[in-house]
Amino acid sequence: MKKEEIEQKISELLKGRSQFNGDNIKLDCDLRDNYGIDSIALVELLIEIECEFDISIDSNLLTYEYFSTGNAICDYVFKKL
Amino acid sequence: MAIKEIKNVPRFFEPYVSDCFHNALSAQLMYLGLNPNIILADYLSFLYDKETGYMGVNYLYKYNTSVEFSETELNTSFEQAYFPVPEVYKRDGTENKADYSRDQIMVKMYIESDSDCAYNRVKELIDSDIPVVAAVDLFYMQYHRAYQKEHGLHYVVITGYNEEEGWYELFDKYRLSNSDFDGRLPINEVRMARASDNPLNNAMMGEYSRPVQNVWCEVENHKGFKLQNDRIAATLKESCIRMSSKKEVLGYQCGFDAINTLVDDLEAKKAVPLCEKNQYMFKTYYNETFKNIARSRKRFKTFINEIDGILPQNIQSDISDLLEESSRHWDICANLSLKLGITKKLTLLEDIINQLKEVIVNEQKVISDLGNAL
Repeated sequence: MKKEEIEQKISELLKGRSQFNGDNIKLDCDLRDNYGIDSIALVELLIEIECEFDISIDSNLLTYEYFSTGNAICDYVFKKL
Repeated sequence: MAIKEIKNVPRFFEPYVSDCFHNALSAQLMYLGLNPNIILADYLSFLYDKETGYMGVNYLYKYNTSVEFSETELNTSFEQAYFPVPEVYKRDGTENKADYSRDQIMVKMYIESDSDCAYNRVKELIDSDIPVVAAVDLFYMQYHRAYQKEHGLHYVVITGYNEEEGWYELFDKYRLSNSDFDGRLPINEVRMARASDNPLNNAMMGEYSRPVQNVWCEVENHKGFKLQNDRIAATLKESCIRMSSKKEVLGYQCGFDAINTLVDDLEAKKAVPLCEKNQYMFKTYYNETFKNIARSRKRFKTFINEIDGILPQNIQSDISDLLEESSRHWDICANLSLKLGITKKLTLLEDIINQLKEVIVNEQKVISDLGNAL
């Protein structure tokens, strides 16, 4: 899968989880500050991403700090595919 | 009719605070010229109750049905602060005189069924330039996402009032529950929030309530208060004792033995499908509690970094790094618990156990370093 396709899909998933600014998703922005995605919503999002891309996220990386932006998530998914 | 506003009350928030009360009280302590990172530095510990599965740092996090606690329950965490038993406010000043050390800050919690009396006391305190930490039910707080949807006891800081126009000035900077309010609210709504019965409901407790009882707190003994090095050292020593499982707190196992008991209990859960109650337990209770424990490690790190002259600088730095790493592992436990609660994948139990083993390795080094330095 191309990186652009991953970014497109993850932008859609982020929009679905956002509390605000969902129509203006930028992948380099902090998810909590810009879209109101807290640590609970992030875990829910990552579960959704695991299903969507059929990957398993390494438990040892499951922190808000590691997946704090859309780009961080995209990079991780890209490496896993 | 009267108007009063207190200026320059620090809008305190740090992501490592224990809870909304800790956050609001920290703002008040800072206003009084005290450092909450030291006054409210709790012991490094871990507490576990095998019977119920409840955990905590220095007391068990439970679904409480009251704002009232015993003196013992209230005083398991701090060396520098003392919490007497909450009592009904007496206007004539005849309340019980608590037995506490002069080198501790006293935080008195008052409860009051008479809303007028509670209202008047808040007014008196603000008139004396003292901001008030008061409990409210979020159901009535129009700035919060829980407004008119969910009940929940919460603490805010009231800094002013205008009776003519009917508003309070208050702030709520507890961003861990997405609060970030600084402004005016109708007095009558806040009064309802303070007097609420606060009905609650969850899969573990069923229906219950935790009446707010107009509770508020007053800080005493702050004038001329000076930090004592022996109290600071005692916080470190007691942390070593608790983490080394050399004592029980409130009758519960502490420290590494308690973490190992938790690991054993998680091992035992691998063979049993998740029932609804356990699913809720992982999704909500374990998630929130592990997060809270993760924050406690960052809080202890902050405390370690703010005390001078007690630990050698290299030890201070090493402990600080270890606590940061430990906090990360507790945080992963929290996220894995949530994931387990959502997906019901029991294989995640092994991942949680592995994180707890990492916690033990890190925190044993912390205790060893502390023990050698003290």
